[in-house]
This record gives sequence, C-alpha cells and structure tokens, in this order.
Amino acid sequence: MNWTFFHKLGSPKWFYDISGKWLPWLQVSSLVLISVALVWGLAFTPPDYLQGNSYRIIFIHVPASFLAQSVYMMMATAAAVTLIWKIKLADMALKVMAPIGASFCILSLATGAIWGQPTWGTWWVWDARLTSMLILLFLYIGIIALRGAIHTIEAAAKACAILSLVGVVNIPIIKFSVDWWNTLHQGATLTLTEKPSMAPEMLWPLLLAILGFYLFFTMVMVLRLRIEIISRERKTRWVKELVS
Amino acid sequence: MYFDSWSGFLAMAGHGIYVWSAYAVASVVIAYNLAVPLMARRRIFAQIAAQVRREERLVKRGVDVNQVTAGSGDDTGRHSANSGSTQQKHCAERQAEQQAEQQKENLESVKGSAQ
Amino acid sequence: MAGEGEMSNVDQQSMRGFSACLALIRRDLILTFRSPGQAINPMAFFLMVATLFPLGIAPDREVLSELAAGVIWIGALLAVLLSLDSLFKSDQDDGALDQLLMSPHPLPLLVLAKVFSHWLTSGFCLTLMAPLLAIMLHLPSDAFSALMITLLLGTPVLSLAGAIGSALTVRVQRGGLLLTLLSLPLYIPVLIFATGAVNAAMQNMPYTGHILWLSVFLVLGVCLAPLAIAGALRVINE
Repeated sequence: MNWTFFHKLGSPKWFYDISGKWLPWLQVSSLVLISVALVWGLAFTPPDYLQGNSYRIIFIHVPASFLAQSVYMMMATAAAVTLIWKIKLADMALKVMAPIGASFCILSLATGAIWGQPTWGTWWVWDARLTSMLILLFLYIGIIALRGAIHTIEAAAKACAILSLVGVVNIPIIKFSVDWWNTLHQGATLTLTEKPSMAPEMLWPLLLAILGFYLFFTMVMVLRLRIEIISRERKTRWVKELVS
Repeated sequence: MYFDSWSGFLAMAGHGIYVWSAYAVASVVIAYNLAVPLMARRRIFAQIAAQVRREERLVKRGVDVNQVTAGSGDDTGRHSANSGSTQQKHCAERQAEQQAEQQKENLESVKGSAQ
Repeated sequence: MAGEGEMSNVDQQSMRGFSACLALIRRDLILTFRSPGQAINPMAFFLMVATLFPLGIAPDREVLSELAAGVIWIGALLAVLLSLDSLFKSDQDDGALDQLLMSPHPLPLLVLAKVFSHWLTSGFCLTLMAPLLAIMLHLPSDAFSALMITLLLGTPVLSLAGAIGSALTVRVQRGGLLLTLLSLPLYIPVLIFATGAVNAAMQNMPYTGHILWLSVFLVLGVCLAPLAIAGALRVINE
C-alpha cells in the first residue's frame, strides 16, 4: 500500500494548500443547499397534521442534532489518530471541532426547547433525547475546558485525545441509561422527531438541510483548521512568506 | 408556495413566534461559526506580519535573526509542535528581541560617545 | 523444561507486580492514617450535604423519604469527587508519581491499586456512613439493603471514572473544578441505576436488574479505566 498519501495528510502545509482549493466549493455549496432547503421547508411544504406549522423547526433541529452527535464521533476518530500515529493535523482537527460541535449541540437544545413549547406546552421536558443531548454538551464543555487549562500544546493534545476516547466509550452507556431512566419515569408520549413515516415532500428538504449543514460544518472546520495551522507554524518560512 | 400571503407566512397560523425564534437562534449559531474564524484569521495574520516586520528591521541593523528567534523552523511541516505558539512563548520571544535591539542601540551610543 | 522455566519466570513477575500493588496500597493507607483529614473531610461533607436538603426543601417525612435515595447518592458522588482532587496531586508534589511511572511493573496494575486504596478511604467509608444518613432522611427500611449494595458496587466505579479526570488534571493549577466538569458526565449512568434500584426497593419491586447493570459498569471500569488512567498519567508527565 502506498503510504505517501497518509504522510502528506500529516503535513500542515500540504493541507493548507489543498484546502484553499476546496474552500470556495464548500462555501458555495453549503450556502446554496442550506438556503434552498430552508426556504423550501419554510414556505413550500404543507403543515404537519398533528403539530401544524411548528414542525418546520425540524429543518434545523434534526441537522443540528445529527451534527452534534457525529462531530463527537469524528473527534474520537481524530483522537485515535493523534494517539496512534501522532499526526499533528489530527490534533488540530480535534481542537477546532470541539467548539463547532458544542455550538450545534446548543442549537439542537435551543430549537428542541422552542419546539417543545407548542408541542408539549412547556420549554423543557426531561425527554431521553433532550437529556442525552444535554449530557453530550457537558462532554464537549469538558474537552474545551481541558484544552484551555493545559498550556503545553503536546500535553493538551494527548490529554484531550484521551478524554475524547473515554467520552466516546461512555456515550452508548449514557444513552442506554438515559433511555432506560426515561421509560421508567414515563415522560412525554409525543416525541419530537420520531414519526412513523415522513411524507416525501417533507423528507426532501430535510435531507437537503442535513447535507447543507454537514457541508457548512466542513467549511467552518477547514476555515478554523487553516488558522490553527498558520498559528502553530508561524515560525516557518512558508507562513512568513504567505503573510508578507 | 404553501402560504397565500406574506403575513400568513410570518404568522405561521399562530406558530410564527416559535418557528421564527428557532430560525433566529440558528442564524446566530451560523453567524458565530463564521465570525470566529474570520476574526481569528485577521488577528493571527496581523501578529505574524508584525513579527516578520520586526525581524526585517533587525536584519537591516545587522542582528542575526536566527540567534534572536531561537529555533526558527524548517518548512517541511514536520518539526515538533513545541516550536509552535503558546501565547506566553510568543511574548517572551518578543521581549528577547526588544532586549537585543536595545543592547545594539546601547552599544552604538557607547561607541559614539567614545569617539 | 524450558517452557517450565518461562512459566515460573512469568509467575515470579506477576507475583512481584502483585506485591508491589500491596505495598502501594499499604503506603497509601498509612499516609491516610497519618493525616486522617483526607478520609474524614469527605465524610463530613457527605453529612453536611444531607443536612442541607431538609433545611432547603422541607423536613416532612414523606417528602424526605421520596428524595432520600437521590440525596444520599448525589452527596456520595460529590464527596468522592472532592476527595479525588488529591489522588495523584499529592503524589505529584512529593515525587512519588515519578517513581510510579518509572517502576518496572505494569502501570495500569499499580494505578488500579492506587484507586482501590482511594476507594477504601473514600467510597467505602461513605458506604459505612450511609445508614446514618438514611435514618436522618427517613429512607424506608425496606430500601436499606438496596442502598448499601448499590453504594458498594457504585462507589468503586465513581473512584475509577473520576481517577481518569484526576490523572488528566494532575498538572493543572486549581484543577478541582475542571475535574468536576470532566467526571460528572461519566457518573450519570451509575447515578441513574443506583437510585433506580433504591427506588424500586422502596416500592417492593425487584431490583436485581439494576444491581447486575451496576456490576457490569464495575467490571467495565476495572478493565478499561486503569488503561485510560495510566495513559493519561504517561501523557501528562512526558
């Protein structure tokens, strides 16, 4: 197997150069997809027979929830790469993904709470999904706080990598116990997003919105990653030449 | 178009406040995610540009930049992350440079007075 | 013949590792006896937290007995967290941690011994104290045994999971709050199943399932947490 590709991936300069080419495509496609999906979802889909127009929150709530969960999985992958192959770029990715994932976690919680008001008549319900999402936010906060507390880059990188891996082992356990706890306490009967089948005219804009949010996340991650590269490589000739 | 009027679109049959506030929160989160990297980018570029200018000034005065900025990296992107940038380290370096500059000036003035 | 020789060699090595663990546990226990504050303070904290709830909510028998399981468990959880702050930090200060890292014995094993001695001086003592709090909070007597079993199974998990956070923050100045942020999410499953078991026992329902799940967590913790703790200690002290 040819490993040069792998080693190239580890080179920040190579990534900086190649990601510069991706960036315009990511920007245009995420902008177009998100605006098309949201306008479609807001104005051109019929209202839900049960929830009326309030279900239109789904077009941001579901993509944000998906992102919040999968970003943590991506962070755990980056953590494993950091620990096993000691690739600097993986640690940079781990660092920049945490605040983005946390922001989408907050978005998911906020839209869930707003949706809860017309659906359940209350802002917050100790529903299994909302509770798990809240705990996921705690996990994000822990990683961000740990990164801020350790001042040497190397030690912070590995400590955060270990913490992300510990978190990812715990996520299924937490999810299982929260689900179990919720069934015990007989919480809300009407879950927000679980529907037997979604009408296709609602499903299409939702899929577009999910894709758009993922592209947006990739774009923001690349933007932040490029800044992190510049910041860490500020002593190198290529960065100095780039700036001046 | 599902709604028959603009006001109907805004009202969403009574659910407008919820739908629109959710979308407002979403736009805040999206704006945050865009604003942070753009601002950080400007700050980092200004910092590095200032650093480069300082080094050029030092070169003009004949100070060996490599001595002042210890461990200037290679551009293969494979050096250890230690030579990266904690803020404190950056500050310490800046101080070292300023001291070197000061010493140089002092030396010159001493020479001048001796003559 | 050669095979036998190797076997005995391996046996000897594992014996030495085992005696190193015993020595470590003995040392930690002696240190705790010399400055008993380390063990007594969490217990005092536990008692005080339990006192705050009747004062803050209501001294009614019905209300308290409903809350008792949760209050005792949250109190124990916070008390363990408080005591975890010094688990590796005092060793870091007197250089014992460096010795531990350089020791020829497997680090996860030694770490497990340290966590065990920590549990003896925190979680185990809290478990012994729990009946007193249960009486103060009017926990129905049917639920006493459930409370004790869950504490015996659950507090070691708290020590194990919290030790990961303690190892990660060993170099951080005033890392106590950070340790709390890192550890509390990991404590949630234990809290859910332990209080679930006590509440089930209060309603005269079977709680074997909860106990089995807590045991699963304990086995998982004993197997996985020492690896994470050892990794964290190595990484932070590189």
